[in-house]
Amino acid sequence: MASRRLSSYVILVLLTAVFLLPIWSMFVTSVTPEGLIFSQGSGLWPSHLSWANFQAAFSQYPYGNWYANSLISSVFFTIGQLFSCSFAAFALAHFPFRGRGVVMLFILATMMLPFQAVMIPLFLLFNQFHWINTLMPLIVPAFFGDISGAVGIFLLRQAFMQVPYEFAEAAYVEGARPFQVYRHVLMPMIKPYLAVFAVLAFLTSWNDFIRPLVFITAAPHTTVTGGLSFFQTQFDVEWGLVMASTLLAVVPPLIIYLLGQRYLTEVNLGSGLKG
Amino acid sequence: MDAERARLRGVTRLRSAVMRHRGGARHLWSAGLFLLPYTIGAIVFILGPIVYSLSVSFTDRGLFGPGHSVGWSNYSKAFADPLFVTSLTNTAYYAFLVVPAEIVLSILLAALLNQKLRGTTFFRSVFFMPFVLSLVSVGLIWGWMYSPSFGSLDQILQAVHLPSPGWLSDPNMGMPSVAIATLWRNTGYYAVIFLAALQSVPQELYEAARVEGAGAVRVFLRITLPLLTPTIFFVLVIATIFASQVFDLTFIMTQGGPIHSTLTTGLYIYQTAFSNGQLGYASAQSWVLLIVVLALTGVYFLSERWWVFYG
Repeated sequence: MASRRLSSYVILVLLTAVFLLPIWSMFVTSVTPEGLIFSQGSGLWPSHLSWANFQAAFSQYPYGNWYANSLISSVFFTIGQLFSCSFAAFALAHFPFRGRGVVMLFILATMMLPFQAVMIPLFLLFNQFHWINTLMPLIVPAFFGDISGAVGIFLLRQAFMQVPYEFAEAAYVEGARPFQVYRHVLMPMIKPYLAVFAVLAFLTSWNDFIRPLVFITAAPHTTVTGGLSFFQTQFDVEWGLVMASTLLAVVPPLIIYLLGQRYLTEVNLGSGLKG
Repeated sequence: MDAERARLRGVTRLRSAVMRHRGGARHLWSAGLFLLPYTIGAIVFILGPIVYSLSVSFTDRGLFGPGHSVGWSNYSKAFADPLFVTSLTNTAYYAFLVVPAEIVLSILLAALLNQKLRGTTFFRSVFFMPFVLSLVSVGLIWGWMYSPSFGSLDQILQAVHLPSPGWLSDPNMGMPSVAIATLWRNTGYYAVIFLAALQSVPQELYEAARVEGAGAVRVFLRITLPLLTPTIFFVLVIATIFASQVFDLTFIMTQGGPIHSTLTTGLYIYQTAFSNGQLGYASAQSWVLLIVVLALTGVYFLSERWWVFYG
């Protein structure tokens, strides 16, 4: 038994090293001066700490704009999803109506949709509204569920179904209307799920690449993730600069993940979809 | 088990109580109202575009102005297009590399994490963390890892006097390299899902097996694995869907190279639409991809009853 535990620990530690190696390598490369990288690569430990790559990132690219755009679009995306997905989840969890199964099947089916199937018509649609090169295509669909809302709807539906019906029943007996039950009874009771939902939504929006790529063509108007598209790596590349830029892009999601972690342990990530 | 029954009881009570209070037609009205935002979105941002892309696929539309009707020629063009066919086989190859490996590795990882060791939470966070990064970031990080001579992996190989496999410069290694980056990112996510499934296996089953003297492997094959099949099915479906849509990684790491060995369908559709400006043709391609994915998912669901065991 004890040897099994020891070998498990050894494997876990080795795996940790393997999993963290790319991140660590990114960090080391980002603080290594470009000249050194070209002549000898970056080692496993920073030999010359230098912020030059970060300075280059901010001077050569509109990183400040990118951060602002990412922040704005992700915050509004999360708000929009919170409303549209919780409404839909409430409807699916709370009202046994005919055709409910069909609706759930439809939502499930949208998860199978490759974005390529809708990206061209959406591009043409947003072009009509003159929303290309703005953040609107990234924000507006969030308020109406959209493909990205499917996971969240199932998660929140599962959350609502965990609440014992007595609470809602008591409110109905007092003459409450469904929206009041939603707002004052059920939503406050699923706070951990809402926290997980918000974290997932924020990350989905922050990390989204193809939508900024398709809908925003001018560099200063895109998001951080969209901005990474300018770092094509087929030819001779300034890896220090690229790694510094990637590090900058990766820090906010990591922080949000580390902060929101404890909610993830309270909520089972897979449960919302299997049910 | 008890929690499950209690929840079912609660749901059934919900149905009968709500029926008692409000009656069937009222449900439809209230539910409809709450579903209104989603329904609007489904029509405007999902169904509408799908239908419209179908109609565009029958035209020769470019970036400006509606094109002329060309019937099915975009579709016949697609299957005659060696790049498109290559992209389909590349995507299938990628899926074969990635999906089984993801499932096997994540189950093993989950089994490893399921032992009541101290610090499991820490390890779980480490393995899950790459999933939190955008695919583009993952692509750039691994682009650096794979960089010839000076990238991290080649540096390590040089230090132990091993030759470099040529990662992203060798057409034979291109797709496997992209697959490895995918595994690094996704395995932790699936492992967490499997971990939750493993933890819901009733302990009595394991104890009974231990009493009967069954070894660890037999316990795994006869007890754990069958109980895991619903989760495996779930992961199989979503992993296949993710794999079929692969775009971000190939866009940022290789742009389809070297020599189109990593040209995936998602990438080719994007290039056809926005690099070549052939919106009509690209729409037809995207419909072919959609049909293939639907067919594959259909096959999965049809096979479900043969191997998925619901306890």
